[in-house]
Amino acid sequence: MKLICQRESLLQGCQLASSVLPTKDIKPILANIKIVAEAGRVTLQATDLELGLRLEVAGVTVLEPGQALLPAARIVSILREARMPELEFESAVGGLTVSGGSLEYELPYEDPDQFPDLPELDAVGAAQLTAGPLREMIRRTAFACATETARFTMTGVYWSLETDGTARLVATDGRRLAMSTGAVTGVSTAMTAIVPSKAMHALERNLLDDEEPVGVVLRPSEALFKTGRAVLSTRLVEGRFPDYRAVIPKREKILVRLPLPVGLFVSAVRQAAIMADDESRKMILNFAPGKLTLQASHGTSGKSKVSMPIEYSGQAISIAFNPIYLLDMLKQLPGDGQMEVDLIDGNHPALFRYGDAFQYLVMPLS
Amino acid sequence: MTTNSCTILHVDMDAFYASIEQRDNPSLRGQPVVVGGGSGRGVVAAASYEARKFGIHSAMSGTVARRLCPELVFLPVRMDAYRKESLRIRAIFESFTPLVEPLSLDEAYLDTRGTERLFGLAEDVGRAIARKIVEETKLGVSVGVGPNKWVAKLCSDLRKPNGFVVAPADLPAFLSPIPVSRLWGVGEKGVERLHAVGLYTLGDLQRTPETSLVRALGPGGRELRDMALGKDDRVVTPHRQAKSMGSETTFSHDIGEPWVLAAWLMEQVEEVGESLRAKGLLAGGVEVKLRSGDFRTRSRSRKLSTATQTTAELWETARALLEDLCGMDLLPARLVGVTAIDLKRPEQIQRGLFDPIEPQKPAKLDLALDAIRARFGNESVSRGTVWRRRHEDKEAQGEA
Repeated sequence: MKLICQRESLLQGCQLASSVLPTKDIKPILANIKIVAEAGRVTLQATDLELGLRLEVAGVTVLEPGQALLPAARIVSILREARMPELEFESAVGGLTVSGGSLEYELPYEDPDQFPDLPELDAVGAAQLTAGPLREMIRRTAFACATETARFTMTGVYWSLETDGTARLVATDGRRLAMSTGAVTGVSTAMTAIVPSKAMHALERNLLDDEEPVGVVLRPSEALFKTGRAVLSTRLVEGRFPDYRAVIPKREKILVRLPLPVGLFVSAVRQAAIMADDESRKMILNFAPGKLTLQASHGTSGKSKVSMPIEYSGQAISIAFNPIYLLDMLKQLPGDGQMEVDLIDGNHPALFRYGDAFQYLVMPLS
Repeated sequence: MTTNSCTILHVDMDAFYASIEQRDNPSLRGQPVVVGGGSGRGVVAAASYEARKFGIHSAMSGTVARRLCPELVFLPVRMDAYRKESLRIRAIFESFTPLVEPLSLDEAYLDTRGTERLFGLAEDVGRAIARKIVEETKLGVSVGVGPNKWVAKLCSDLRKPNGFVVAPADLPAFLSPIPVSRLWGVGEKGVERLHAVGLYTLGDLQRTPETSLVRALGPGGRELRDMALGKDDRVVTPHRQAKSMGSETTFSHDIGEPWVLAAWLMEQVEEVGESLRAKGLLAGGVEVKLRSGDFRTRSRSRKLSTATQTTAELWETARALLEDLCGMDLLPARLVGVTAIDLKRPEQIQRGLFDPIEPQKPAKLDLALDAIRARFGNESVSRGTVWRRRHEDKEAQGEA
């Protein structure tokens, strides 16, 4: 195999592929990115055996077709440190040579045939979403996934593609829940799946062009995502996602609904959270007529009290949250936006809503 | 080692509950008096020195105590009064050093380092504290001064009541004649084991090479030898907010049947649950420990998805952990224990979205059992397996 690549373009591709690599050393060969050079098309492949990525890279001139394994960490460093716009890659059984201008690197050869195969996407039955809105849906949900394996079914984002053209993404760690909706086309029968959070983050990174369509196929044990350049395949989280509908408060139960300007609210939460105790992580929000007061205390070493104006004239309600759960969500929203909060009382979860497309439910501390 | 390296005090009130009763009621002075144990099957909580002369001690059943001393005066427990006195004593400690580690209402460790310029040597601090306690409370106190917690505690116990013992510079010689039964953490069974291999005093332990001790007693042999030489590196930890709460039992004979172990564990879980509820704490996790007949100890712990103080929920996790441990070739076992870990105050609890919406309340069953046991004693009501285990134990004792 012999090719000349535009350094920046291959660097970007290798960085995207690297995000798929296993975090643990499960099999040494998986620390490589496989490069496949055909006439007119070059793809990179990476996998951790759960998640696989095939990525087409532009700006490569294939002089001799072939395949090679690129040790990911080294290649990314080489591409990053080099200064010239183009580099030459040549691979034979003797080794892999990367050269350009004053640089020359020799790397050991590894047999590309030993690299695991990645599934091809047959686009049959693929539902279509648009990259820009999908990226936002992922950002607004994936952060809420559980990290502890004890809550295994919550370690992924729940996808529900409905025949009425609604795509719904839900993530929860059992204490807070994020739900984001958007438009989907081409759904003939409703489909659901729990997609591991690592796959969701990898997909988000591969959504580069806001306008491009993204094909989605959900199968019983795997999901496939296809963009213009990338195909991402992932195993699904097995098991039943918790019944999220049951915990979202019914409209008629809600006693208080009030608007909150995102920017002002974020600042107030950040300011008050400085004194939230590391152990209890508790912040009390007091909604009173015309005024929201946020309070936190840090053992005996101090307390905070921050207030902001609100449009509210009802009865005072106090509710306590882990401020991190609020900030996780607020980070995903535009600072000049307007959100709403629905409350029942201090013992029931609070529902934060941003437009019709995003809902975030947080269980209070007691 | 010079006496200057002695910086740790162990201050221990003499027959605390009983002395408070005698102080508050002059007619009881000089009388054999016990607190608790007066009704039915209860046990003695504290005995005055006059009562101790008859062989009466705390944790003895009231019936036995009465048999030993028919004139014995039984008094009800007045916990509020003891607690009030305890606070006064603690305030005296804290006027000398902030490094106070209370062990119970009536004893504490104090670290006097950093107070020398104000109050002098640890010995002087100890004498000043003892004087002040006697002046302010009119109660007796014993003080031990040592280079570490273990030696200080041993010293305070050597000349009770009204004792004041400073560990001398030559610790090994000082400790040599002390019987092994005084060792911290060595109970009746442990003493038997030590006697069986010819170890009666700390001097015997000092003279035995470490390797021989480890061979004869397991890894614990090393710790025993360190203690015999007066070594202990535990530090005085002030304001210990309980991070865990546990209960364990060493059996009189090794147990091979998993159901019997489970029955013991259930009893311990109930006890831990009761303490959690009494102190208003919730467990964030559960740890179970199993020690084999040949002294291999293994433990397993698990975090709970929601913190709890309910016996049934603690038990569910504890039972699963015990099952794991029973599969680890540790049977027959000599000890089983359970610990509630990662304790939280209720206000720190993050509730779950998918949990029942009611705020956590102790289960009604737990409340009822706690109340029955508080009134009629621990064995008045028990779960089936626990009852069966006790019943079989009693039968076995009857046969013996």
